Amino acid sequence: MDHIADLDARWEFLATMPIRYNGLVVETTNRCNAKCGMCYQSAGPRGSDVLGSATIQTDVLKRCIREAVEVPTLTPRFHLAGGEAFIHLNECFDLFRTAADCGYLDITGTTNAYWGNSTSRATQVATQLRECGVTSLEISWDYWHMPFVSAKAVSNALLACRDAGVDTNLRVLTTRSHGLSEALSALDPIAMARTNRISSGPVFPTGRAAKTIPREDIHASKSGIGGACHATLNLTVNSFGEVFPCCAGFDQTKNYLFGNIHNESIVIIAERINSDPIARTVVFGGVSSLLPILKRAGIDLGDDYSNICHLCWTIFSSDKSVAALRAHVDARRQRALEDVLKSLEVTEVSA
Amino acid sequence: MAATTNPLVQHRRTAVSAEHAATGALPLSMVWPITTAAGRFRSATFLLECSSDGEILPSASNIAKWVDSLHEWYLHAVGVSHGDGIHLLYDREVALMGSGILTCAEALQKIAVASRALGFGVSVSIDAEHALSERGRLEWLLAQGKISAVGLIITPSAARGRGPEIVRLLDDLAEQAINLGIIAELGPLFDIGVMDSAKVSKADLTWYPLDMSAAQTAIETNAKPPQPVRPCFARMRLFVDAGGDIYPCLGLVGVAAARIGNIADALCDTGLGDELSMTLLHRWACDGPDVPDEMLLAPTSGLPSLCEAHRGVLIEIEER
Repeated sequence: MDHIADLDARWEFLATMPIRYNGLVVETTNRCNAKCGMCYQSAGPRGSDVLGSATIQTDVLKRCIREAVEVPTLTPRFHLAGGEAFIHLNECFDLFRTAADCGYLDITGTTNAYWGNSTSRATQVATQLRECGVTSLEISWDYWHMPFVSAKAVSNALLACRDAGVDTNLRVLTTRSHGLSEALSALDPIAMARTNRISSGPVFPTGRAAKTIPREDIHASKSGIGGACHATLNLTVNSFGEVFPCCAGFDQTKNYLFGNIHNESIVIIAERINSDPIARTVVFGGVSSLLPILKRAGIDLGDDYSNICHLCWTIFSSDKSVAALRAHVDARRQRALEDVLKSLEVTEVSA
Repeated sequence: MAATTNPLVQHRRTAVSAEHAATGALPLSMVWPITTAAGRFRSATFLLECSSDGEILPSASNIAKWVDSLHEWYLHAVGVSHGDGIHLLYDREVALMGSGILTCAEALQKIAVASRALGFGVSVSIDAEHALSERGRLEWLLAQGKISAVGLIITPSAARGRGPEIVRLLDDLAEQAINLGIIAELGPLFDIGVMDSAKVSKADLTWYPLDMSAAQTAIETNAKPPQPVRPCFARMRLFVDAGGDIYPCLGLVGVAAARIGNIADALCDTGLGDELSMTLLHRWACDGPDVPDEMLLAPTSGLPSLCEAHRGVLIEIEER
């Protein structure tokens, strides 16, 4: 009984818990000068294989960056991502400067470091990034980037950032046949030693990886599909201007949308996400709590998922699954309304 | 403003007054509310020492008691007690580090239980040789399920001397339901085959490369960042040393002028309970310390040059 009471208390608490974000992530474009086999965004020179090509105008983004500081549960961190956002370097500098002027304290970006091909160019870009307020960069590097970006460019960028005072986090993805050693041993050991951090982890079978990497080559995740993501969210604007509560796959779907920065303030959209029953269920209850609803609607998604992000992307990429979830929420709302009306009628009669 | 007998708080008032007077940017009457600055101190790192009789310093019960009071202070300071700022309860951590601390595994567990009950994550940082010699205690501690992250420090000599054991240790840790961070020179890890391990490759890991040659190179070439990141925002969290003294960041540990208080003090009597102290800390977080660019030198200690210079400035104030 105590256990049930605890659970009730937990849900009561979570019913009013605001969704909290580790930062604002802006994906300026889904175009990329690379076309990596593991890309969760399916990005390439012509944009996303799935969603098409999109780039947001700088003025629209600057307004969004300024407005987002008013989201009360947003940590003051600004992160610029793509595609490869840095193919439009001057726009990136402009956006970083805007974020710094607005009071974001941690100003970061993700790049494949193609701009590091020569040491002088790497130094020039890293210095300018720092001047615009950038505090750290995530540099993507692994087996799948190798055909498109040279190891020398990545090494140059790591060293240039170090000299300019920009922290770096080297992001490396792996599968069974392409491990950590293969990616790291290609880099200059001095450059690698001078990165501040290396984050390594398995490829998720989402986006292009789901199509191009054999499922048996993808590591099974130890995390499974049981957890929830409420501690790891970022308020994310994708390259179409659509706003999502994360940048780990949900942002690459188009069937369940919350609002677009071209049409309204991100503050309003963040409020909408916070009160959305499906978003709240995913964020606090865990995406696997949607599975019984889908099963009742005749949709059996099985259980072969690497992690919660893989399952989330799968559910929200399917218009059929989303329609079933919407129908469930609508039916729940209707029932709740009827119950309230009945109880009001009873109160009226007894009065 | 309440009177205080705490010399540190007095110092901070002087420091805040002097800095504000110098910049003219923030009149003394305009103090930031404690709420704004308190959100920066959601986490605490304990730099522990093991005593000869197998106890840790500060003691587990004193730490547990203080973490409890920090939690109460935090709830009040960020407004949770009044129904505000509930999202600020995320990402709070109690970090435990120090040489040989696994010999006091039961004490660590006691702190972990108390901290997790209040919603803190708990991390333990240990060096690999110690972890190998106390493997049973490490396994016992992790089996209790209260440790959420482990930081493993691997020195080049440990990697060279106990390579295969370290690979096995990393394989085992990589499979646990914990966040794992590895602090090491990468070259020796390549040599002993860590990077070729399938279990290591498949895990979500964070590596913090140690670059033993960097400081020397920086000194030789007088290399210093032309434009360092000034705001202390990302570097701020509470640090508590073995004597129980509290500091606002790693760079200022041991500097008397930066001491916020002691875990034996009531929190309201420390810098955390003092508006002017919190104002100064808030300014450091947003704008960084008042250290002129010309004072920045090539870093020698592994700390950023700005932190080294700030430390120097405060020690100088202390000595005056």
